[in-house]
Amino acid sequence: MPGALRPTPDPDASGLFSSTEPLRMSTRLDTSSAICLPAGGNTMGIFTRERETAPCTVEVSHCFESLHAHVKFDNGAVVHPGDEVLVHGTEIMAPYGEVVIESRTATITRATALQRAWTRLTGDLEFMELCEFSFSEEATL
Amino acid sequence: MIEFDPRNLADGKRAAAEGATAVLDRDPAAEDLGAANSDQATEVAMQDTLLTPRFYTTDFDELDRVDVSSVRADWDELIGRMKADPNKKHFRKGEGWEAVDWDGMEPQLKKELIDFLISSCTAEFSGCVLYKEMKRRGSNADITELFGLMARDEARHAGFINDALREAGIAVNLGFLTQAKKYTYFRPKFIYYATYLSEKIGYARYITIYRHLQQHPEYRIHPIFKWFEQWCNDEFGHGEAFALLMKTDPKLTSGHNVLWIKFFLTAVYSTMYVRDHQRPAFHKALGIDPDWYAKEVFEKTSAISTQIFPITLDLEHPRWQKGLERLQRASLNVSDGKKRGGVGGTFTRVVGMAKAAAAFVSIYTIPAIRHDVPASTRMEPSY
Repeated sequence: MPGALRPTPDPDASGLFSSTEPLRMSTRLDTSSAICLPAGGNTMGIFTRERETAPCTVEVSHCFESLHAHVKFDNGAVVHPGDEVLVHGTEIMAPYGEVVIESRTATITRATALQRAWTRLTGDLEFMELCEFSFSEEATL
Repeated sequence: MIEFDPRNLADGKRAAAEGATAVLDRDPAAEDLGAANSDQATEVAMQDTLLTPRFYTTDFDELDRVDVSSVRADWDELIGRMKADPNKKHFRKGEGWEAVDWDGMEPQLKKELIDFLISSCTAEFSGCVLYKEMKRRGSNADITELFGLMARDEARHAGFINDALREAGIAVNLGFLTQAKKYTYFRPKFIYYATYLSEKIGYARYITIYRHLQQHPEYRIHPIFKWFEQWCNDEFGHGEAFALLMKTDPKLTSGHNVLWIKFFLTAVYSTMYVRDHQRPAFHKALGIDPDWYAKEVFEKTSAISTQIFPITLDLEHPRWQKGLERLQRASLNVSDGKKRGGVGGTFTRVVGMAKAAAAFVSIYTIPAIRHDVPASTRMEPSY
């Protein structure tokens, strides 16, 4: 069973892009390298990871009829292989029997061109994740 | 609140396994969880298990190019059935839902039953995430309609299992969104092969248990098994959709792709065998021998898969059963080695992995049985 990831420290979370501000998108480049290539409308570094902030709508349903949690980027941003998404702010918890819909901001950390290519090449190796076997892989519980 | 790190799934499972008392959240939805429990409800003490679904991308352009006109009649019929949604009212806890004595349950069985529920919930939830992404990113109307309907079903199953977990005192924590999520990639054909097989083997697994318990109701350790027939009919239908998708492109089931199909069949069957044998208390309590169960499930799945795959594995071949047993023993070596750690443990692990690889190769290389695939893919659940 894949473990949960620790939240990455996000300098935006407390400052510029709180969810109470008017929602807007901004793009920043990491300062470590200036090598960029245009790719499908995004600038994408070969060695740098670009971070974008995107307004999003989060819907968490904790009902008997449906258990789901979806993030929809309101500005039409799309996620590519190797990208990471982090929704800002406190955990979105829907009490049992409720659906919670919230406007939030998310940081999309874009994969570099190399990382994206690598993810496309090697992602299939984890194909067993697509298969369901009723039990976790742990030999003993 | 019982304190432990909700981000640690293993913690959640351990806490549950140590037989912590199931008491209720103080919320109005608690009434449906049985009169006995509501008497205890003074403190909020639900344990938390953080759901950690996986996030996928695929080649959405390739999906958009799928053209179902060659299977239009079957496709429309299947979609029509999914839209009519015959199971909408079935996932309800009616009078058949007896209370489960979680506190009195034998501890190892409880661990394994909870593992079953959590893994199944995570799998359904991840399926929903995948299908929803495919729906959202597609612009092909047939594809987006199908995946929207499948996402609905998966979320419904997840909700149903979640309810069973709540009765066991485990609340699913959906807070994963505010943790970093990395998107992996699967090419469409791998999604087709893997998901088709998962859905169909899921059907075979659940219907086998369901029919067994119909004949031996004394082994029904949890009321959720009564809902297995509706559940697995949904799985069957999803599998039909993937069969039709594969039918639209004959290359997917011919040429070198037949080797991929053989690989997926071997990997899925052998992993199921190993995992089931790692849960002996669960199967014993159900009155099911895992080897008998494996044989039943593989035979059913193989028969169903002839609708679209041009080969089945030779389950009667002498290397088959032997190879599965070798693989299972090797996987025990690997987990022993992992637990022990250190140099000795690593050595045991590596040797175990080599043995597992050799066992896998020995069953993968068994000559497959070829057959002609029917012109029409459609099948009805008949077990």
